[in-house]
Amino acid sequence: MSDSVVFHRRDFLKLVGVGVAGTAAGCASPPAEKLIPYLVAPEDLLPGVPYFYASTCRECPAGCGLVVRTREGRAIKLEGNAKHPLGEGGLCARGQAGLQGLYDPDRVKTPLVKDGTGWKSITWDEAMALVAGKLGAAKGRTLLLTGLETGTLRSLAGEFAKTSAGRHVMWEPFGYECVRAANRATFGVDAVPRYDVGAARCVIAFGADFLETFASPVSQARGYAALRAKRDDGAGHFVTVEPRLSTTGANADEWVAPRPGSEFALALGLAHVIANEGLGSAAAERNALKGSLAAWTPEVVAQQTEVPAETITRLAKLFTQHGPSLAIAGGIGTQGTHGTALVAAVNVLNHVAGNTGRTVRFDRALDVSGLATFAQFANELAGMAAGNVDVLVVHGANPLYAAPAWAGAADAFAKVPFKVALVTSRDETSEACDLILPVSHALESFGDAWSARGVYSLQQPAMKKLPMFDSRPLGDLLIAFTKAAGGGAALPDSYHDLLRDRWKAMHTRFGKGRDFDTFWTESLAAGGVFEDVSEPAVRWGGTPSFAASERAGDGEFALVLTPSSNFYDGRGANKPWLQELPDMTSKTVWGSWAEIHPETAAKLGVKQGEPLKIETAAGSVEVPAYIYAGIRKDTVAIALGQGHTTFGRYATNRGVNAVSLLPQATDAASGALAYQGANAKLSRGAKAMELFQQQAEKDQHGRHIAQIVPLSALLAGSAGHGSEAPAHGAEGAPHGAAGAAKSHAGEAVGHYPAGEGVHVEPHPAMTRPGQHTEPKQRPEGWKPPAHAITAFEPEMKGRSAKNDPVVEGSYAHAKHRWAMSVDLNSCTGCAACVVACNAENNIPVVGPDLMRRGREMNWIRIDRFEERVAPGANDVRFVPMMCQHCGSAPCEMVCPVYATYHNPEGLNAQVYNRCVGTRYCSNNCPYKVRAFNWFDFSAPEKTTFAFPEPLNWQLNPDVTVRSKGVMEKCTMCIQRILEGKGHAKDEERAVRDGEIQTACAQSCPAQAITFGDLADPESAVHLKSFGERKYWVFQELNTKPGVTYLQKVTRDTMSEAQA
Amino acid sequence: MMDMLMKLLMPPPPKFYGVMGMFHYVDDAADAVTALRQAGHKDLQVFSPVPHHEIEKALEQGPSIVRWVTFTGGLLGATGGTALCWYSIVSWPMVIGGKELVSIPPFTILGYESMILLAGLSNLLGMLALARLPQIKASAPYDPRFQEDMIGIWVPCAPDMAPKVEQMLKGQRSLEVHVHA
Amino acid sequence: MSQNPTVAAHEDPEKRPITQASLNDDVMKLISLPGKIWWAAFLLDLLVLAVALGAVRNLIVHGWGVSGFMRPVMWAVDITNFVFWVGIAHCGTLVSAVLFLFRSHFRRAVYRIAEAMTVFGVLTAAMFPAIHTGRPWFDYWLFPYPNQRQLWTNVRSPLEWDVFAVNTYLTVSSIFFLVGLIPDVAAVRDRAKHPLMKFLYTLLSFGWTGANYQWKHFYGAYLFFAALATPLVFSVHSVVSWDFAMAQTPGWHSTLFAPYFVAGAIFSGVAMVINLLIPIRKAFKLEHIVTIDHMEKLAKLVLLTSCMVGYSYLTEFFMAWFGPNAAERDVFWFRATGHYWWAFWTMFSCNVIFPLLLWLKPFRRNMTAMFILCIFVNIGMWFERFVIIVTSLTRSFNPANWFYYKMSFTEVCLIVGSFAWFFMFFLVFVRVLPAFSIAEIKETLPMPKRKGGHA
Repeated sequence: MSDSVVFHRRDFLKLVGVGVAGTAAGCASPPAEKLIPYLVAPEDLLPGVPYFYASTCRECPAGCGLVVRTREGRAIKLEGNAKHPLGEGGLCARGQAGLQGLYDPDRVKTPLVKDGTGWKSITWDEAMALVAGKLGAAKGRTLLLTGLETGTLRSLAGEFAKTSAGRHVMWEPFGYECVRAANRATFGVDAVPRYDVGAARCVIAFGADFLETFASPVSQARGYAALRAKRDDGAGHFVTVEPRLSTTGANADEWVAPRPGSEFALALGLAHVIANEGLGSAAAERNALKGSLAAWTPEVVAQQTEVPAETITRLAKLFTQHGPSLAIAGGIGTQGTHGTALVAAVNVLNHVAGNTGRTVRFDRALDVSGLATFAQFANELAGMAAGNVDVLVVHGANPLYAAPAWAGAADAFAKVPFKVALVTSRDETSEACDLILPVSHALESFGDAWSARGVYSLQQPAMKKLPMFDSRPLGDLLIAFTKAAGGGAALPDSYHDLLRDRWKAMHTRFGKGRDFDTFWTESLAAGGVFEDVSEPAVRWGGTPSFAASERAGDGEFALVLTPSSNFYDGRGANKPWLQELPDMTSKTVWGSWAEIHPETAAKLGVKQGEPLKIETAAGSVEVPAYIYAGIRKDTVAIALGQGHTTFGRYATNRGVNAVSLLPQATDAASGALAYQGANAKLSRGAKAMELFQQQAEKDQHGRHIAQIVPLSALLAGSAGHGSEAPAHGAEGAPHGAAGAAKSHAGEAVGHYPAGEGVHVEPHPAMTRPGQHTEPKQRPEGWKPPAHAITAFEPEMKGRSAKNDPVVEGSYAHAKHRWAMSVDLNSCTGCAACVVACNAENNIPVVGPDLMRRGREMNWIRIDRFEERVAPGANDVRFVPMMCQHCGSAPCEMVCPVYATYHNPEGLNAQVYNRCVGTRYCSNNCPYKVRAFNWFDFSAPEKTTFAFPEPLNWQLNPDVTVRSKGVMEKCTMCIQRILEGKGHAKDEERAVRDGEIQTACAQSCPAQAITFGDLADPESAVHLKSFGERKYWVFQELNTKPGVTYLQKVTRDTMSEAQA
Repeated sequence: MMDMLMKLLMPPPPKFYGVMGMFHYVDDAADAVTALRQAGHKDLQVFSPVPHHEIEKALEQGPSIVRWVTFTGGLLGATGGTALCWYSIVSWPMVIGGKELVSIPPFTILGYESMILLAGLSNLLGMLALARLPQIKASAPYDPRFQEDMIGIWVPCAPDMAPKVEQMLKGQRSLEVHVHA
Repeated sequence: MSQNPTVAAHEDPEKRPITQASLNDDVMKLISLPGKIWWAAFLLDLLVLAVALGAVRNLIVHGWGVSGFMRPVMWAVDITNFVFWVGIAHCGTLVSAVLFLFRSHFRRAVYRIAEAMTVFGVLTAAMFPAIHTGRPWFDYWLFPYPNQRQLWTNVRSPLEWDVFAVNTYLTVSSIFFLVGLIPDVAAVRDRAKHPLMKFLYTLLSFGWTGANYQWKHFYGAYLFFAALATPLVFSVHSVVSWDFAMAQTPGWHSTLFAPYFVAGAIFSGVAMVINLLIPIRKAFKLEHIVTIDHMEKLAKLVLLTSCMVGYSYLTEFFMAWFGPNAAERDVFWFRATGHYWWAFWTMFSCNVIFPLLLWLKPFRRNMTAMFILCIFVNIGMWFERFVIIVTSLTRSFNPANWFYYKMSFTEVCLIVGSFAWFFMFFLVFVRVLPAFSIAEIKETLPMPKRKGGHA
């Protein structure tokens, strides 16, 4: 009754059986010995031991490196591949949620053939026969429509197209058309460059959400952390230029809100100032450029962009002040009728500032060549509508959802006699097809992705194909199709063999002195082959001419469509983790919303969450309003990615599809679909609707939860004294324990971490000594009692045999003090950690209804606090909030049954079996990080069951699935700690620092979270926890947390530039 | 049927030897008691709807000793409760909220509540024992009017003494006198 | 005895002198086969109770998710009801024990009702901690019982203190109640006609005869019950208040809570006694036993405690303003002006403003007015607990977790059901047991004496 588990014993044994068979008998077609575990030798499989397989993430074109963690032959978690140049060990929320694409309960089970309006399931033989017939008949009139494919699959597709004398069209809704077009124009290169954010000393983003969806967000997040770590001479500024403050922009020091569509003018204005005043390091063509920029004086630009001229000059100075800088443009946020103009203008700016080749690099350029532009794609559709296509094969593209209605995808499809969809889960497009063939998920099949220059990633099945879905690898199908079309005589039957053949070429290039099998094995193990590529010579191709911008359609509001950092272009919407992952701007889950400025809302008489009607030439939608100061008064923003009509139980009929608002407009220069630049009419909606918010209050009411320190103060402060603990000693702030003034960090047992010495917003506890909001002053020579295990009372001090009251508790022999530090200066609020935690700890997804009723189960959440959101200086703070593992934990004291207690290694342990569910602990937790099982999320027979088959296959066997009525919370991934300690024990050595990583710390693209052993004075977490900028949330409560936060460093872009 | 049930549930009282005098007036009863005791009748039983100080005086009753039982119980409770706390913590020492293992304030609270609990229980038991409750078999002939407004004085004596006692009670203006011989 | 001031009080308007025998008649009028009205009330009560039990069943089968509770408001109506009913209970002990020690004779007329209310009140209150847990079937883990794994309870947890305090209170107050009943039940026994009834009453009366030695030890013990119950009643509600005061949640974390809660408990309890007495004395024509003076004395008690409660409210706000704790200040500002302002002002007007009427003597002696006022007082006191619990939790330290609690049908069932549960006991009680203490009221009567006594 108490703990109903998801697996009954028999099922579990079956699964283990399947799993063992899976890894022993191999994944999919290839036999077992071809499977290459990442870390562990493949000879034997030990139940209970995780195996890791390197692979490639296919959730977006970036193609980061993956490591799949499997247990008993089941993939249970995706993590970044530290050896991979794309991602470098980090993995975004979307990437990690790919697992739920594999375990999607709505995946197609068998081949389906259209039967009237419904679908009839048929056998593979029937299906293949059907296709063969059609392909044979349709000579020369076939079309293969896919998303971005690279490497072997692209060539195979080409081969298929060739033999069937048809065409292979690759189309991505977020297709980088503008960037490519602009780079062609200015650099003569058709590529998306690598933006070396880390190398830059000042970054201006022109609407590019480079921390969310644009280019390679994970690598760029890592770069962002490096950028913000810069401090020596006050560098590391980040300014965002966009009409609506995006999640990326929320991290900026300054927000410039130009008139939508006029961003390019601002870029040109900056370039103008730089060129004329000869700021920064000169580029060769500066004089040539100067001429072409003459027209764009700050005054002209100011008049166009509504950004004051002095701001423009100031930014220009700031941009060139600190050596290499970087301006980024592109992404959906600015892909409008002037998208190409903007990117070109920004290229000019970068070039004038001499960034080309330094921070704008084409060495690891993202390979998106071969992608059809939207215009080309529209032509294809027109061709189909004209009846030029007999057989259409679709994979990885969902035009019926992602393309606006006026592109005519629907009737184009209607005109094609026979359409085959190769999908894992049915979507809008597959519904319009005649035959649906279930393809294996990327994690179930072999493949490769050459996503960037010199990056040849391999993709290998991490597990046997899920038995409940009778799927086949995409490659095998394409080969079969090619053969059916009467070609491909040379092709082997299995795509795996083809892949090996194609990689023979790689072997000759890179496999020096190794036979092919070794090379192949090593490549698989490493996740691919990565060659060092040199910066190609990029010459300036001349400045295109720019015309002043104007807007299309009537209506006084500019419509801004924002890419969804959770769903990308909408392909992630069927993943419950992502649906329940709050959007980091509005903190909204499970639906759509539209952002409008408070004044606009007041004018319209719309309150928070009330229906808002958005009308454009193309159509109208009604969504709940989210009132947001981070948007221009004349602008309304709505996110893409929701509003699916057919996309599994989690995405269908949720929110609205913003694409339906797009009037017929493209960016002439690039043929990109103009997501921006439309005008809209706003009015109060009629439908009653609800805004599901995971965090309603975004003002921290001076509670000092998210703290900042200005760089200037930091420089001054750290100049005054070493970055050691006693920093605040001088401030006369109280110390918890004696000897805080001693220099040894381990001695700095102050119940305040240091750093307040440079604290700009002094804490009440600092400023009002003697007030009872602070822990009481300890007499000199006071020793913390042995039982007071706190992060800042290290082992040797906290426990000695004689003053240890715990006689049998073995606390006396505790070797470790697990702790964590969170650097708010690096955190970008990307929420990768949240999904990582969900995956690692079997956290149930409760759904929109229960989210509305405050039944969130997440163990870690990102609190967003808006201190100042308005054009100009910007101050938005993200705080990853999880159990703080307090030394004197309020929750422990009030539990009547010891269900939560302090374990010898400093963890605040929660004993599910013992929990009665009084919920007192949560009431007494100042951080409110405890989640209560309101329902039976783990009981298959209940309607609230959160893991419908096969989602339950993803559950981590190391972690209990909690039952109804018990409290749960962050455990600091105690299962990983035990695993790490186990390894160390086996190898008869001490645990190495960094060897054990919590799921959140591992996944963090910006490496903001550090986990480790505080008792080890050399450990990274120790150094951070005792270093400067450290503070504890609610330290005046004297909870002595085990989680230390590092203040966010803010930079004053307003005045520093004048210096 | 009713009578059978009555017999079954309410067995008839045993045979008594003595004289029962019924009084209405308190002072009469008190005088009677005094007189009887002077005449050497020691083990009198006085039944009344409410306790009367006069009669108590006449009987020269000391204060009840139930208080000592209660006190002992309280003492046991206080020590027992605190001991339980102490034992329960040291028998499985776990650090809770960074507090001392043996933390006095909560101990006192539980000790205090236990004290009252045991004191209350022992008080009850002491009273029942001393007042010979529950009384299964009557100690004297009983009259329902004792619960209304009558005072009864029961003088146990041998049958041959009965007439003398009867005279004495009549002399004390007893309203009714019943002789059980 | 004849100089007893309350003698006059015991004469009804028609100047019919109460004799010892007539008192028995009057009190035992209640113990008779109930009429239609009683049955109607009783059945209605059971009906309501059945619905409420259905809701409780859902809570246990599906989990507390069926309620409106949510993070951060993990407690709301459940604990509100608990504190409310414990509070109601306390007044009973106060009247019967404390006033006994103070020898204030007016208690004799009313204490039996009050004590019954105590026992039934605690029975009601005790249900809520039991059902409010996530896994009620493991509630026994809260009791320190020996087991081979030596899994004990955490004696530092205020909830554990509750376990001890409430159980002690239930035990002691029940004993107190039953012992006090002994002589009266004996009187009832002697009047009982049906042998079965006679037998049962005999059991309940422990075969009491009223012999001198029984009286002696009876009063010896009774005094000590009073002496024990008096500190108990204060300690229990202090412990209950510490459920909140020991937590550091702003709005809870206050040293004021113990006296504040005790005053509030007595306040609501006395109001409840009045609400019970007024209909009973009217229905059974007992105005000459529970006289208007008695009622007025109770009214004064209400007035006194109302002032104490009001003072506590003001102190809380003053301390919030005066103290350095920003979170605390915020909570109290939120209480008065925020999302739950209506709850706060209901509480404040019902508990502090309306009771000011009690300064007027005519009001105190007007039973209809008193009845209505006391109902308001109880509404106010229920909201006091609601306000303390919900507003504080809604507005705790981390603003990122500020959400508003909305009551669901389940909670409504819990509230209504608790009253049904209480009155189920009470309705039976007034019909089978002497609702007024015959023995003690008798003591206040002039004792018949030949020399200068009443003839």
